[in-house]
Amino acid sequence: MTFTSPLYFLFWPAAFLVFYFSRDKYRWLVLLLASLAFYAALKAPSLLIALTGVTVLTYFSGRGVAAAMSPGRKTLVFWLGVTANLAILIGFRYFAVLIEGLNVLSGAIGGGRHVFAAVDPISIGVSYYSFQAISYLVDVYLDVEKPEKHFGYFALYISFFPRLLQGPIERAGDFLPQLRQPYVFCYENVRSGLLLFAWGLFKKVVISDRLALFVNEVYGNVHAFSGLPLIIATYFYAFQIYCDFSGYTDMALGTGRIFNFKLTQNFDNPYRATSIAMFWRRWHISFSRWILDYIFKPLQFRFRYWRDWGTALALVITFLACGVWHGATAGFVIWGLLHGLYMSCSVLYRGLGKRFRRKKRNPTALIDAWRVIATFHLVCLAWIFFRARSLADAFYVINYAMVGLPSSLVRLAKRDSLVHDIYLNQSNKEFFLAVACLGLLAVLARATTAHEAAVRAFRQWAPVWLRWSAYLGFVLAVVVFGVFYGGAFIYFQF
Amino acid sequence: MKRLVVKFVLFVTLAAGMLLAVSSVCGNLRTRVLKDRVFVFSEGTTTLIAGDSHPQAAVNPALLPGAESICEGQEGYFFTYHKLKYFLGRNPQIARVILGFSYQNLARRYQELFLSSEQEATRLLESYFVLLDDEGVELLRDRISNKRPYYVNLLKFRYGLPIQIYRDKDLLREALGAALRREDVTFFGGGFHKSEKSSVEGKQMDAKVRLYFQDEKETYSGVSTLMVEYLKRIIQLCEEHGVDLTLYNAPLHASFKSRIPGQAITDFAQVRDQLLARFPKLHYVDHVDESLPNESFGDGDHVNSLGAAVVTGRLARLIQLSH
Amino acid sequence: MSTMEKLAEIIRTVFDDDSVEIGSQTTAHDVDGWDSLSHINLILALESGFNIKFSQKELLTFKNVGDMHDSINAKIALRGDGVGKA
Repeated sequence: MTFTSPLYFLFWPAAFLVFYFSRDKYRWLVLLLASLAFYAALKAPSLLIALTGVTVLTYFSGRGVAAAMSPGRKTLVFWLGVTANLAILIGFRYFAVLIEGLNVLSGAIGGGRHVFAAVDPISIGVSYYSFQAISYLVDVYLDVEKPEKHFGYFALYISFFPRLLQGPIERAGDFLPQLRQPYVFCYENVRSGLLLFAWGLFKKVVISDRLALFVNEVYGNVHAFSGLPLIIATYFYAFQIYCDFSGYTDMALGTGRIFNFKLTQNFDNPYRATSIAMFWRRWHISFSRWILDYIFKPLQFRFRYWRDWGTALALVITFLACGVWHGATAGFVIWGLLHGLYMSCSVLYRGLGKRFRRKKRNPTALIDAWRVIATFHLVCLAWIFFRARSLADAFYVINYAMVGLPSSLVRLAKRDSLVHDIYLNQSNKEFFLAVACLGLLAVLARATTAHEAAVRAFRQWAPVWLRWSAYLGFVLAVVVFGVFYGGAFIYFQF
Repeated sequence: MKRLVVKFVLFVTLAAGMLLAVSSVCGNLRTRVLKDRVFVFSEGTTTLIAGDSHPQAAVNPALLPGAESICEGQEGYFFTYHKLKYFLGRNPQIARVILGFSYQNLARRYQELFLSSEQEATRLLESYFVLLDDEGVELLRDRISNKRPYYVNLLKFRYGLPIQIYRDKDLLREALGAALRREDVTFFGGGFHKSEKSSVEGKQMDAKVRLYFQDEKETYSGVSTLMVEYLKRIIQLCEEHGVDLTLYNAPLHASFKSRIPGQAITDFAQVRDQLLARFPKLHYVDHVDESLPNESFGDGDHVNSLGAAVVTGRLARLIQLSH
Repeated sequence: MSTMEKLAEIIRTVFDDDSVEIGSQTTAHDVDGWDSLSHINLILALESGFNIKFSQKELLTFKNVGDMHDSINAKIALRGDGVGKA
């Protein structure tokens, strides 16, 4: 099951009740069983095998690394553990690609016949918890963390259901200590967790899936569009993927909070970043911290004598890996490469700029606004490769978004093509709703502190009936404005 | 904790109650709108024109006494059957139905597209949900691997849940007390297609013929037994209601007809003859080869309103004669 | 000058900020411009300034200036009198 399936709304209250009424000693077991059931509900037994594999291998590797006598042995066990995890990850994620590769080989040898049947295995979650397991191993290897001796706690660390399917990727130091604290029922946690979950649901079902209607129409058949609609669809996609993934994250964090767990936040207003580097500190934070700590830093250290060029190279490799993690197709690789190039350029530029700029001038509001817009557009350019069905489609979009723009503006002025170019072949009501949603997001994203203060004030001072009317209104809004089919979570496929 | 459980249960109950109340209002509105307004014709309406875009373009109800057109583009017999069942049930005054019957109505690939395309099936399920009977819904539902559209439409149309209600112009109009128009109801169909544009072009016709009659392997895809089955059901339905049924083959441009695979024409003739033999009360009017100037054709396989004026007149005289 | 003073001076030079206070609890957050991209410049400056070499493992575990200070001192001690602490 997923967070938006009706079954989930029966699952977590049941899990919570059992959790609450269990003895503290066994609470971890309840959560572990619930997590396994949650994963099993996807009806893909191979996934459970992957989860078990990762859990068992990493648990024993962790203890092996800590117990190793010599540094050589330590390193060996460490790399064995990491390799095993990577093997599981690659096996599951790129199985289809491997089969395709084998087919190509066998075809060449066997005279053009495909020996292996094409496989499309489901691999939800593997990318996330295998990375989490690797981070645990590194932390143990570096003596940052002690290995977890309690197998049950460790298994729960890997499989905790709120973050099982799409992260966030938790560090051992953040999560394991929380397991050791005795559970004390906290009403405020449950309530704020529920509200957070509801907001995530709204973002996903009302905003993201609605934007998807437009994006799918255009990106499903790019050659039917030219100019303005390509631009609109790309902007919509930027927000679709943000609402989709941050909506999921809110649902995950909210659910975790109900059980008194604090999971790491994955997003922090990413489109308000003033540079690509800042963007990556705000987008999919748990993942970018992972690639920063475990791929970039070691590489940067290795290349340090090449100074800025070494850093640049480390960045390109890191983001290439980031692209490949998302998928083995050219689109994702180029997306990663683009971000790597963006980051490298900013590093090289910064080094250069240092020599010419003596004083640090405080940026004005105008410069800041320009930076935000520029960064957003750089990110959107990369999203084109991420979303387009093929490289050819991506290049078409980039080309014709510019080339076709003047004529689409002309058409617009003549009011000839409102439905096709602006509403992207959807009902105009849907378009206005989509814009309204984006407006809502903009309002809520401004000055987060003011927003939080307002929400807190509302909760404290508004009378009960007003609060409850707002909550009921919210439920009604989700029912009326929700887009209920066509909406698988985007980040499931990674 | 007790406080939490109490509040939680209370909230869920309130929310459920609210949704139930809203649903019953919306459901009521929808039923009233459909039963009393949209699906009920005036006493003077005695003839229904049904089918896909061919009769939609060719038969102008204004030129036939007491006629209304409920045609919709791309509508196969599977859907027309359910539509007619619904309408004939609520309008006992209907005495005649003119049903489009042409070569593409039996073409397997074109008519059964919705059975192999999940997107098409979902779209049609959504559009026709109210009209389909249980068997029809099941047929569509089984073609879709993702069952969600079925459940969502069930909640929406059968139980009145206000999902995406802002899309239903008819309900909003009704609620606001404005005058209701049949065209506002999405699945009803646009009725007669009025247009004097003319563009008969070779490449377009080739593409259309390919779309109708050829499958992926570029060979003639044969006759759709499912559509023949539903056509028979339409005939039987009309017999049950004591309604006079005329199968109408609308005009095609000569160069379009010449592009149709010969086998398709033979198969069509075979089906037609079988039906006429089995159902003696069935009428068949063939205007396929009616000579009309190029300007009377909207495109290769549809007349425009100029052509419709001519053939509807001829059709009207034929009907008068048969009485 | 002591290790800490030299360390502080190098930090101030690398990040071009003469006013910032450096103590053993200082982290990257406290100094403007000190992020993961420019961190490496500091490491290089420290390596050349103290004539030492950091290891990959150490680099990944430094949490604040105090950690760096301890590591530098340990390396100096190792080099200085030939007797190392295990």
